[in-house]
Amino acid sequence: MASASPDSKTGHSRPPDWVPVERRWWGLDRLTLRPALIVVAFALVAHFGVPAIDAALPNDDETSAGDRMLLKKGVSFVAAPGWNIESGIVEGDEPISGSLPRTTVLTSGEVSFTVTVGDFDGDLRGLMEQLEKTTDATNGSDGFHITSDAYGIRSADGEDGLLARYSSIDADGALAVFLHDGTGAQVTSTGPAGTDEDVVEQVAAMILSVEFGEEESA
Amino acid sequence: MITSSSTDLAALDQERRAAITENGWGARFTFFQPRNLAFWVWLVFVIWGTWHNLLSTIAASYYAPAIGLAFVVFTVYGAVFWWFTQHIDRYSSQPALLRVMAFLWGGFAATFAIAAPANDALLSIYAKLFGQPFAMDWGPALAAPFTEEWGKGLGILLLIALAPGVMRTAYDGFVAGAFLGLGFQILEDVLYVAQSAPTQFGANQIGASLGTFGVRMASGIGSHILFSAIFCTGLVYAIGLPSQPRRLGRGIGLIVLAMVLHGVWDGQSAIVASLFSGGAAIAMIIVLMCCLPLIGVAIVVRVFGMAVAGERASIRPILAPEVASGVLTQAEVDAAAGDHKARRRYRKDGHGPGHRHRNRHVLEAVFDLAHELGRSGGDSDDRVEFARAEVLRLRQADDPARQG
Repeated sequence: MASASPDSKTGHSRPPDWVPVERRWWGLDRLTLRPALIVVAFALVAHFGVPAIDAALPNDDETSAGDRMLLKKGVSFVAAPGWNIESGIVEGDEPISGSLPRTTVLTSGEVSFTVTVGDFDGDLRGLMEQLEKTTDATNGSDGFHITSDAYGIRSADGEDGLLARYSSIDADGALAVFLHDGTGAQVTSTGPAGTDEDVVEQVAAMILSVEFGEEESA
Repeated sequence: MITSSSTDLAALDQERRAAITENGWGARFTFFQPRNLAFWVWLVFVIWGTWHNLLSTIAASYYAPAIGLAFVVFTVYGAVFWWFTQHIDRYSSQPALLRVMAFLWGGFAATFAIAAPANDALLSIYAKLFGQPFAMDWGPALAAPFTEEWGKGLGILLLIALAPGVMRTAYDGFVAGAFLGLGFQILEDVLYVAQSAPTQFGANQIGASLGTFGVRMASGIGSHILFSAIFCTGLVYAIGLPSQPRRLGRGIGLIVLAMVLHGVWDGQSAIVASLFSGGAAIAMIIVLMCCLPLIGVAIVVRVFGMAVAGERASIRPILAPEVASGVLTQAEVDAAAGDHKARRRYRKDGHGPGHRHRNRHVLEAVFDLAHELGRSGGDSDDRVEFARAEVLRLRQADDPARQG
């Protein structure tokens, strides 16, 4: 495009990228301040403000005795009472869309209990080996790894499973797997060393309460 | 000696120059603008978002086969949309560098620096305030239209501040919005594949993510590109620009429309389940999944028609001196300034073998001439003269298909 027409006083054309001195603020073009600051304000609120509001809100969604947590593919388990539901759906309080989560997370103090479901084409031992491979590859040297041989367990529903020690450099836990008709359930529980015996018993009960049922359609 | 015809030509030339400036035809754009705060904001947030993306990609390096395939597939997919969006931008085309900047803002800043942390936090807030079932049903529909549409859409403010000579009309908002949405869409697609790759505990990661590839490619047609094109057109109408009178009502209407379309898309399962049950609900979800993109496309075509009207009108004063001097015919200018029906009418017009082919080439050459005039600011330089000669050559060709 042709350059701007010459200034009537100086007779010279202002180059398109030239910001007149009187339009500058600390060297920046004043005309660009407002749009840029609007964007900065929105981005900072989105990146820091909204998460800060979330962090300030308490999560008081506690499980009650007998609460059954529902997951995808018909998998469920009975939650110990008094645990906090970080994410998950309790039976009887399902979303109207019928969609259920692939992962459920409960916490009790510093102890967390996570169940994840998915398809798996193989046997129970293969699922445990796959998880060993995945956790070794994704958790880094300081993260959680399977640190013992797996031994057999049986759920209250009669489902065979495997359980192994699952620990990091500063925390301990257990990893259990169950497999039923191509659907796998991975259960991990982690917490600080010396966790209360009652909590450990609750974790054990929750692991053994895992059940495979029919997946309900939406 | 000044004659009446030379006076007319001078007046037409003045109008041409005014139209070129007003609509930003051929306006140049410089990337490095150290005195422009919008430049630094763009740079910082794109780098910030890229850094977040890089960290999450490195953390998920075990899933490199699925993520790598996603990058390849969605790059090709994005290239098709890029070509299409560029193809419909016949008028005061935006510089490629500005499109790249729009793409990068949508792909990295809007996704990883803005929408992702805000979405996670909002879903958690909804779960804490209204319960987990509510968050699962309505959370995405009540989070994404705010975080994602505004995250992408505010990129338009930066682009306007970076290129005020280029970003002149609602049509510029439409095109830049489409590129903002394209960037967001492609990077979000890759993210979704990365999230679906571990769903078989890390085994068979490509097989585990095949469904995501299919769903994202099918739904991409009526998704972010479309939402952002509507949203950004609305934002330009709402704020007004030197060549775009402010239309606050229309602008807010389009912004809300884009957000509603996005919300309905994300909340369709819950909407259907709250109205229907059993087999009817499943049938309605399938109907909605098919109809929503079509409704979205119908709306975006309408918005395009609304936004492009001014651009089409600007072709007339730019080419009027060419008609007066006999380089172009009025029919050619009418076709170039018209909609697809007018262009089709022009292409069909005439007799003899290859006339449609010839007319199509002539029309393309008319657009080339308009762009060269825009670039030169209305002056006649070598490229403009060549563009004029091309129109004459193609018009005289008997059958361009046979001439190679």
